[in-house]
Amino acid sequence: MVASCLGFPGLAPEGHVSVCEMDGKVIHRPFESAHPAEITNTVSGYPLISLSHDAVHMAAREDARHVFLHVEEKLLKRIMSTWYEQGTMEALQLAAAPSDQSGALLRLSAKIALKTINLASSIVNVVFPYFGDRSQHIASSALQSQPGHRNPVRCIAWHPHCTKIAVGVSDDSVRVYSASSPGFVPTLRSQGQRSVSCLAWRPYSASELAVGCHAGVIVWQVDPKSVVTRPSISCATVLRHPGHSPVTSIQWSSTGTLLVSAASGDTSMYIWDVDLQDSVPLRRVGGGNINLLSWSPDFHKLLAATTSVTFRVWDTANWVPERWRVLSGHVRTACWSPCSTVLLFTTSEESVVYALQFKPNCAQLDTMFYSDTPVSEQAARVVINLAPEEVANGVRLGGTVASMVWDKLGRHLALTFENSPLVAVYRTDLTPHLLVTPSCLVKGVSGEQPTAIAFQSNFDSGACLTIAWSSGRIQYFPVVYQELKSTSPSMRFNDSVQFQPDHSLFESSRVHEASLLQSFHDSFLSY
Amino acid sequence: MSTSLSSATNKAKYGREIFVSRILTAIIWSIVLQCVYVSHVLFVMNIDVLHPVQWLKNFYVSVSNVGTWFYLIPLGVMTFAQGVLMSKEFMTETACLRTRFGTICSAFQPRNVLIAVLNMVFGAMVVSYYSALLGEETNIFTRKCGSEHGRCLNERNMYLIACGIWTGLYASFKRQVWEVRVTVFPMIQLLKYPQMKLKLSRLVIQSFKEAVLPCMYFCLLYWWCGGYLREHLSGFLGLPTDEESVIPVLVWMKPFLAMRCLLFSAIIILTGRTLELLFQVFLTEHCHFPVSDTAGYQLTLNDVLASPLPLMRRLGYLDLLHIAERDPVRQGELFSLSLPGGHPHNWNGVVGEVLRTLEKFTSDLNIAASDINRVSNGSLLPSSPAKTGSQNESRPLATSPVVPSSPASPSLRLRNMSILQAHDLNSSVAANNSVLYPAVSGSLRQKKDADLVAASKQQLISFMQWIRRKPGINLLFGEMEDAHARHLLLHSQHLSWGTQALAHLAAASLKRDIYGVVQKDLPAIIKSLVQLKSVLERLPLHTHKRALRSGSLDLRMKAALASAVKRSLYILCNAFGQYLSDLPLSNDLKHTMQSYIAYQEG
Repeated sequence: MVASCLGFPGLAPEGHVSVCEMDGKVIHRPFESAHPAEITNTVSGYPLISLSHDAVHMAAREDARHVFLHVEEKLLKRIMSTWYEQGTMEALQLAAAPSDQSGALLRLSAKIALKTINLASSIVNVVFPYFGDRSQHIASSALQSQPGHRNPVRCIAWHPHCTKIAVGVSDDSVRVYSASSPGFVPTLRSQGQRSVSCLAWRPYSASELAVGCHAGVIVWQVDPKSVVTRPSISCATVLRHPGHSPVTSIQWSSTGTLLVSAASGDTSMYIWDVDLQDSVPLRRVGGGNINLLSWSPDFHKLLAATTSVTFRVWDTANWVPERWRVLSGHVRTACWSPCSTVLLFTTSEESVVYALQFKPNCAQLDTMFYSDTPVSEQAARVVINLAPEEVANGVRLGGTVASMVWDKLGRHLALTFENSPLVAVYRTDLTPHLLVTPSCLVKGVSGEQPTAIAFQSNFDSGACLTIAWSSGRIQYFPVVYQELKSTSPSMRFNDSVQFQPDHSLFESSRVHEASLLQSFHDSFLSY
Repeated sequence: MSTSLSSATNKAKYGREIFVSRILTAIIWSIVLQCVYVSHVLFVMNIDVLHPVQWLKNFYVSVSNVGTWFYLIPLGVMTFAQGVLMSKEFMTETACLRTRFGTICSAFQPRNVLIAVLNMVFGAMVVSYYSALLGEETNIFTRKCGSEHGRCLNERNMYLIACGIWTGLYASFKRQVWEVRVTVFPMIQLLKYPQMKLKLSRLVIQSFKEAVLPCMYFCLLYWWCGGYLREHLSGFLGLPTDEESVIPVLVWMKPFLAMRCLLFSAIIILTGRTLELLFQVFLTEHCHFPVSDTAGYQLTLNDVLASPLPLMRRLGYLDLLHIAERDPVRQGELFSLSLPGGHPHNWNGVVGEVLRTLEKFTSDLNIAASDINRVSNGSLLPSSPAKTGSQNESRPLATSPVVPSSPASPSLRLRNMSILQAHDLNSSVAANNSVLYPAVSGSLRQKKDADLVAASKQQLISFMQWIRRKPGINLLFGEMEDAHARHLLLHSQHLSWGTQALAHLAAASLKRDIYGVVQKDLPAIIKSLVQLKSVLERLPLHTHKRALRSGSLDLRMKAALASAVKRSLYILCNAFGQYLSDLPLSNDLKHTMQSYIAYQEG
């Protein structure tokens, strides 16, 4: 059975926003009183984050010269000051096209020099499109060409083990909000940290946050005991490699030992040992540059999607890839099931969610004892058809997917779309086979678009979807089940074990989750 | 009894067999790669862009010539001999060298001298072989000329062969003295072919870069004493030197000869590096060891972890990490009980060996840290007796045990002994130095009056110490106080795996260990990890003057080990959480673990 954009419960009325889901019922409130802490205490104490445009500093790439008054100076002096302040290219451009007619010889020389440099740089850019300083302009222009590039929040990442969220802001800084110290927000910023694209907390570490940016990967040490709000770059390890830029995707292995990075200008992905500051490039012929990576929770498989129709699933035992192709476009988003046997992915041109099933599946893992690494089935199948549909009041849902996240227990799948202001949440069940059913739609304030979504990893009472809206507001949308809230310590104990890399651990934890299943079935029946 | 003895012999033999087969395979592949290098050189040297067909034809003729490969056999034999000698390094633990003089002396050990001689011969052979391939005169030292003998000394060949011998010696000596010879396992286990493909291209460029310096040194050397060599060789062979063949003083001004010299040097260095790389690739390949010996002759994981061969031990630790991270079947075997008897021999053996290694490493590192602190605190050069006394009093505080509430630990006992040693040493050194400061040491003056012989001995020792502090002598003979710590850290990669493996196994035991065999060892595991972490934190390598190279391997290894230990503690806290308070841990340990449970330990 293929799910679609239909079947969701009604949208929030005008002026209302979706606040949370309690036992299968979505609760809407007027925006002014939309505080989930008043309804459930599961998110009480969470940091309130709202990054308005005014609060975010101007990005370094934006030109601030226009705010100063123009002063008439002699040409030579102007060229000298331009060279000193802006660089050789700008000085040459000024000399080649001065506002007055003075210095004909200088103008001619500058024109010839400029043409030569431009010719050389165009040749270089054809061969290495993201090489050198010009790549930054390319990356910036690519970033600016994206819809909503002026959104204050670019990316968010929850810490896997504690209530701490990192927010990548459009001024190329990263802010770390923690529930344990609500008033203290360390801001990670450095000169080389431009065009921040992705964040990843290191598993089994309280302080290490990897930031993917134009220069490469910067692994910051955000010491929880420190009271410094602007840590120095000396607290960070910069991982870079010539040609590996701009970094678009980073992922830690579930054991926290290895970091993998992909750059849209590089056909290789790099496996990093951050502590040893060593790296191994991995590449295969064909497919083009790699732009998306996703490591399976059990550490056995790694998805590497290229900018073409090809994507690969690497077996991490001997690092041999399995090559796959999509019909058109390229893989844009992907996520693994908690038992690492199902890979969901979407493409840039199709309005569907594909599932790639590996054998044995989760249900077989429950009943049988498998030692071999799972192998994939022959073809991926469509599990959600996202053809655009009108859900209510002229609001359309569907189209190509912008981002997709799956919660740690494999119960909820959240999607955002390129041309829809809604976040669609589906319920998923992995036993006996993957079953996807519509759950709810989350709507923000009028005019708000979702820019980034993430599930909190250590949320015990269900799932906590976190949405960064285009207004700079970050919303916690808890999906709470009362039965889970009153979980005994042994239940928490099981949750913690699910972080373990061997998928067999999932096997027994699922036995203890029989009561969860019952509650979910009850929720389904309520519809 | 005899059965167990034969079983142990069989296991040791099997362990050696693994090594020998890998080493032999690496050597054979090294010889094969030499053939590949020859083909590439022939392809490049026959280059003729204007006549590509002729180029390919010449290349084919050269490659299909039997002589091309026949004369490669001696080179292969030399490579084999070098490989066998170099492989010995992997079979034994390298000793810690505390002085630079000791490092230089190590290059003159019989085996190293033999390797150097072989390398020199190999250099000469490579030059002769490639010169012959590239159309040079086949006769090594003579050439036709207009002298009365009809033949003269071929100084050009002599120059190149001498360059080959020099490069062989230089590469060998550099490797022995300057390079850190540690087998670092790769972070991911790629297949061998991709590994080689990845590293060979870098190796070729690196070899050419490395060849520049010895070539330049050789040019200078030849400029300085080339004339003597020419005269002596001419006299020895009874051949005259004609003016045409004599190389001018500024030999490096001849670009063609310099290029040949660089090419041959690079090939010599590349061959040596290729052999090292192949050893690295083959010997670090992951190996599966059974947890329990069902057949009676198999090498089990416990045997490997306690193996006397250092590399074999590391393979064992690597396999242990593999079991802990991704092999649930063998995890089950590890947690199983023996039949008959019902004892957890498998787990006890593994955890006992890993914890013993961790304890030993911690205590060794503690002693090494005490050495560094002792010297950096300046106790060897007291400015006044009062200061010396205060330093000696403060010494136990500086190196006090991390967990004072548990003095029964063997590592702590060792640590206390080190304190005593340091104390005694400081006292003796202070006494020695006091001779230099007679105004402040009245007691020694009385001793001097009483026993002139003893006093003169003290004087001699003091004089020797004074000599040793002189800049040049200190550089060569002065003890590098951080050498031991760096040596320990350089060989600590397997401990990172050991700590993580124990943590993952303990976490997995919650579900897999149905008999509860792991739970009893949890306090010991936590204690070992916390002790190791505190010693690593106190190790002042980063502030030491020799640590200016921040990217040095020992510092990176330290960072990796510290990170692994911290990660292991977080894994344990994540798995056991609040239940850690139920474990019989000391209050200090409980307090330490609380910060990990709250994720407050950066």
